[in-house]
Amino acid sequence: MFAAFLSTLCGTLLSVCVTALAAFAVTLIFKTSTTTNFAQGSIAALGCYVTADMLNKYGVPVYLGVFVGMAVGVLAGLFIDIVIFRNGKSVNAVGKQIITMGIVSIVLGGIPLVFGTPESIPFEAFYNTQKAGVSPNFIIPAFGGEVVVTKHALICMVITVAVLGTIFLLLKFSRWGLGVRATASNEFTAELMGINSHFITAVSWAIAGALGVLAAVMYAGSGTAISATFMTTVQVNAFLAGILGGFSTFYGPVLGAVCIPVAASCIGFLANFPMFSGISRWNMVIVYVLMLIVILIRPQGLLGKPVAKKV
Amino acid sequence: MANASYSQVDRLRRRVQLYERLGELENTQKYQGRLQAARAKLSQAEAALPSTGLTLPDGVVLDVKDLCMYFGGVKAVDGLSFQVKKGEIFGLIGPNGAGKTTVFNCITQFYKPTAGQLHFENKSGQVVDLNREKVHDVILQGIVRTFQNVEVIRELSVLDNLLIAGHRQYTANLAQQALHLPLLHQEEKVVRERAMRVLDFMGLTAYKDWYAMGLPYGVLKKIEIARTLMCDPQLIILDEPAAGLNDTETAELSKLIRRIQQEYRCTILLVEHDMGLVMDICDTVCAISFGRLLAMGTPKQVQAHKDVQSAYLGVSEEG
Amino acid sequence: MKKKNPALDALRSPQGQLLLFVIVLSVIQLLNLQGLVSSSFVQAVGNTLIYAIVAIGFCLLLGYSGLATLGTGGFIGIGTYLAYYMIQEYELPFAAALIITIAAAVVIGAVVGFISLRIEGIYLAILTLGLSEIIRNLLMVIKSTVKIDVDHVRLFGAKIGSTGVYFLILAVFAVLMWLLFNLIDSPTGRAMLAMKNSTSAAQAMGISLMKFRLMSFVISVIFAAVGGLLYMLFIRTITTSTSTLLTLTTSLNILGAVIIGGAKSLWGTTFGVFIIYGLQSMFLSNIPFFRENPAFITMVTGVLIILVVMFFPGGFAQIVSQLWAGAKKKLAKPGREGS
Repeated sequence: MFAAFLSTLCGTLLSVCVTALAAFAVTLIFKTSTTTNFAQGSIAALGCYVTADMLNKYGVPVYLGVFVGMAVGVLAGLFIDIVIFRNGKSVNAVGKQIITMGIVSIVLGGIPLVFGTPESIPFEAFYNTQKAGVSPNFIIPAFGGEVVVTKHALICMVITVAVLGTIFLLLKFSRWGLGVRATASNEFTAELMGINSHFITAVSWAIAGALGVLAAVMYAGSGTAISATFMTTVQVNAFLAGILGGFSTFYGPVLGAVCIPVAASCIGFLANFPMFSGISRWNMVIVYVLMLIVILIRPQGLLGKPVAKKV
Repeated sequence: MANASYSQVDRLRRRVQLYERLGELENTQKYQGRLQAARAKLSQAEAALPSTGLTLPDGVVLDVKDLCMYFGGVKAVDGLSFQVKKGEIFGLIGPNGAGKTTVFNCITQFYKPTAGQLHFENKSGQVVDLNREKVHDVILQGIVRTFQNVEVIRELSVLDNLLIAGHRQYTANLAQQALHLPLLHQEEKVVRERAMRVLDFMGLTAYKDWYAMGLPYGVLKKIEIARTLMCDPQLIILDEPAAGLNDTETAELSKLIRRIQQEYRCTILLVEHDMGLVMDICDTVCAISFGRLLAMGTPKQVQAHKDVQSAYLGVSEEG
Repeated sequence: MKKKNPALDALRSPQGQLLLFVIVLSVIQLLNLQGLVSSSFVQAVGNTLIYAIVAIGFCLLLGYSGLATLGTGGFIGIGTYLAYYMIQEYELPFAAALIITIAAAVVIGAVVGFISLRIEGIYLAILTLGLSEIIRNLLMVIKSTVKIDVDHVRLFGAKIGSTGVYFLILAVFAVLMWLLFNLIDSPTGRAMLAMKNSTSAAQAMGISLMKFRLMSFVISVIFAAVGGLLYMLFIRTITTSTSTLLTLTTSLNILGAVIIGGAKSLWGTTFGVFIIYGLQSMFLSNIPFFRENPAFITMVTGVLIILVVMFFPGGFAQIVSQLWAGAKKKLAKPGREGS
């Protein structure tokens, strides 16, 4: 039983990675542009479509395809920040939020037009089992059973840890990171102090776009059919992770991104016990309610700090 | 539950005022019955209002005692005490960053003070602990404020901005408002009439239907002051009323503040950098620096105080 | 100098406009009964009107309180499923179904609103987006297709059929619109605008942010749920897994309708709904390109949303009122252009 439980936990590995990347991207935007980027998932889906087309139609290597997809994410992010946000008359926080919803609408309507109506495209994993002819899973005998981890999830974990680790180091030690932290705390003062906050914000959008596409590609690589809305669940979880962990730090949402899929699968695991057999359909409801309870007690999130508003 | 029943008393008082005023405006006796009923209920409720058990010395309207407000490690206000007497114009001065606005924010409960007492004698002569009030209930006690960076509702007309200030004078509930029942119309009539009187007093009648968006700064500042007059204020708190005004406008402002004090019989507490204005109109001045009291007294006394001079001119202790 | 024309004056008041609107839409249905207008057109009008009910509730939330939600699809879903269970399964009368729907909307709106609005206005959109996805998934698991028999659609015990439901929708729209017009022109409407413009000023004037934010959110949830209820009576069947009704698309379309039409104008919002839903179903569906690419209009909606937020924050209503003011000036001073 314990081995089965460990397998369940390992099964959430990919989900954790994908959500963590998306949650970090959302937080980066939240802090530099004081808005919630609802287009995060849509841009990711768009990039993923491009990658899928590269792989399926033009047969480019996986890594190149992913790179092109991420470049699309970067361009989309830059487009939102530089072309739209900077040219609006007086766009406030809610206005920016609504603009990103508008982007969602465009992508939602645009993808079927550009990529055709059959919206699911088969996707090649990072670790292509068909070609290699080996098992897609690692099986570790332990606790009188077998713990199963997919190789795809392990590769994704390595990539996620490397990418997020690099970005955290950059945030902590680079000039850009200092600029992001300064812009996050007060854009106006940061500008007065000689920080080019336009540049900082633009780079943040570019990174967020790229991370979103990376997350989408990882998610699709596990065999999930892609569609214009296939990242919606991930994005919803990323936002909830942000709220749960607290938007005031960068690592809070990442912690939240670990908690939500793990909690969901733990609740799902209870279905193995006869008395909870029907629980799996309720697991997201339970997670959501648990999350509401947490933020009812700690409105600033698990790791957040309360902020005093200036009047 | 002293607070809850205070708001009940306040509602009943509004009703009484409503019918009194309607009777006057329409010059009829037809509201007499409802007026009597409301009065009876009001006196019943007032009798049932539990005492807060707090007292203030004679003539004092606001007692600030050992007020502290810390933001993390920053001590914006640190053990500040002063008393404001009824009917005076009280000036709070100090160099930039001295914590003046923070004091105002504590009094009006925008910030919950880290420590300290804020006792206030409200409109019905009861002494209340302001720290127990919610920020939006402070106005019921008779405290109303303006803001450093003018906070006028830009999407509303000047008249509607004043009606906003009269928000708590409406007792009509959601259904009565959604159905536009007679009570709402009666209340609108009374509050609008009052707003027109305030506009007239402030010399803003010509602007009444203008949208606040795009009006000159001086007018916006006046609208903010006009808003404070909508609700029988006991204590008006003005945060830098002269900031951004030219000399003529400032001179006009000091006359206006005097007129308000006399006509509305209220206490005025103000933060101001314009020393001319402060020396001209304040009865008592309190100088603070780094959240602590430097000196308090008549404008002359405070002006002559050596700590105040050094705080303003930057003269060091040794020099 | 101005001629007094009572009919024109009546049209300047929202009540007069509402009356005219109801008369026009009733005539459309009567023409259909005479066979002069196609049933599918009337069906499209009724459908659009349902979305208009949802959108005017959203209008109060966005245009007056300055809050946005992305849960509209889920809230409509609650209305549709409640309608199915109460009317089809338990055979309750319409009035009871309506009351239960409203009560459920109040409870859900109050709980989610209370928790998210305590933190910051911007969190409402996130938490409602999450809630909406969860509601949709849950409803899909509970019952993937819901269907009401036409025999169960009754009002005061009498079978009303789709013509009756059309008039019911029109009546509900008119009543809700009238209530909203009243509410906007009351201390509540002003308090909401005050809150949207300056939270500090609103609080200092005695306006409780939580109370009015919650009130406008709960009202928008009620309108969405009532829209769902009417949808179920009118269309009578939904397959949740394939229908976009309960998805993010609906939430975004409603948002788009409100923004494009003018977030502060109820008529503007109604027009916005016509642009997004009505145009497609009433007219464009006759053109092959639009029939084959239903997603195209979604894309156009997105572009319009962005353009309006960037350049015309007042939406279509603002553009019209500016044009109207300009035209009036020209009429009042003829020859001014020439001089």
